[in-house]
Amino acid sequence: MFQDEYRKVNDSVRAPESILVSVQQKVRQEEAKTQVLRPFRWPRVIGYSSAAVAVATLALVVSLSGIGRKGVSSSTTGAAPQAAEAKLTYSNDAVSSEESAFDAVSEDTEMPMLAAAAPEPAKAALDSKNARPEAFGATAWVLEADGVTYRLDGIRLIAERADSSWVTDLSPVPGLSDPIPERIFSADGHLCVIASAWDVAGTSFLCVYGFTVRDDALVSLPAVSFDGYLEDAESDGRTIRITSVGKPRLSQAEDSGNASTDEALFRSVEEISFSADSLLLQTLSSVPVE
Amino acid sequence: METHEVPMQPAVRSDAEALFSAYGDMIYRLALVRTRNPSDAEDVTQEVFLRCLKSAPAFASAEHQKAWLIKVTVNCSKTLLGSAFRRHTVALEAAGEPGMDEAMPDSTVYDAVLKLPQKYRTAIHLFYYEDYSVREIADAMRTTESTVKSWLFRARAMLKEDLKGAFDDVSR
Repeated sequence: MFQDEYRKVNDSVRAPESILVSVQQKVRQEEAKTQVLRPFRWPRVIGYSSAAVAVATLALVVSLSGIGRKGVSSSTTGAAPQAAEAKLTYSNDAVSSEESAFDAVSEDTEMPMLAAAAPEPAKAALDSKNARPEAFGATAWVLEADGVTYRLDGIRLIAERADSSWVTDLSPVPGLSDPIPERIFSADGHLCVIASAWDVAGTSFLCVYGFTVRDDALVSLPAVSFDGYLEDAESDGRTIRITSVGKPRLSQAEDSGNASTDEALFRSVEEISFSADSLLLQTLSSVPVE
Repeated sequence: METHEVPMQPAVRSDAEALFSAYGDMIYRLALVRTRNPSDAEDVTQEVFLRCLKSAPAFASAEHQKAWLIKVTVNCSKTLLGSAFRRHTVALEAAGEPGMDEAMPDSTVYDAVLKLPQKYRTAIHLFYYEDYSVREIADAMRTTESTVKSWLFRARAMLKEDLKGAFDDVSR
């Protein structure tokens, strides 16, 4: 029968998995655009509602008084840094010229804390008309190891022990967006967080963070990062093996002697181990993705 | 050292995987029938997923979601085929390049369907493979039921001629 034959043929047609990979990469790029458009942190002390009031008040003052660039400067230099940063991001409508809000304040005003607060990609992205404050991929994690309970909510890490607790953040790697945690492990007495981040061009990176409680303090080890997106990660309790897909590792590219490897994707396995004050990254293998 | 892992993933990525698992083949099959080119079908499928993930529409049911995806697939492939780039380029198979045909299903019936005009083969695919009613096809293709009936009638006639009576039920 026609219908049976037509069904049979179509049943054999399968969508290539590469489509899903491609979609996920595009989604990550979209996330990155949003992430780098968030150069500020909401104030920890005064809270969201107070910050919103500060932003609204500032925007109202600027728009009602028709204050130009110098006016903005004079009205914000005395304000709290958080409010000034919020203004930097959201007051596009209040600036009457076609210049971006960042240009308006950075060229003619004295706001050194803003320049320090906004990393380079964020500065570049502030010109976009599509700035949105939403956070993507917010995920809470809880992990217990060696009597310490680690709670990771977004980029905020809280470590709690019976007698004390500590709070810290996953600091963005310079040039990359805020990290989005993908996996957490405890290994060799350390907490290890594997997170994704993106540069302003949308290239995906993996950032590995290490923490440990030592001498009654939460110690942050310097993060390591490499390009690619996470495919898998596992721990044997001492080291962590990360499988990622991205550009070939340098030695592999040289070995291959193939110029076209610039565009090829490689699946690499990296091993993370820990020393007292650093994370050690070793590439175990890097082979082209079939 | 005891190791614990909490394998939670960001929601948006889970959505992509779940969506692909549930509807990836369906969208790709329809896109392939409409574009007759695996690469174009992949582009269309990717675009449909991105639109769904970006707009995140609230679906009342699985049927509603399926209907939305089919409609967007039809629109995306229409956009692709009508693009200026497409209108000024020649398909590889038309240029005699090997390779593209190898990725297409090898079937007399499938070939016959692909020979039909785009609107006819889309209607045939939705009717015979997705079990869509004439009304549902009309809705997906933004036309009237009588037009769809006309497309199906003509498509069946062309298939019957092409397949030379090998499949009698095609005139159903």
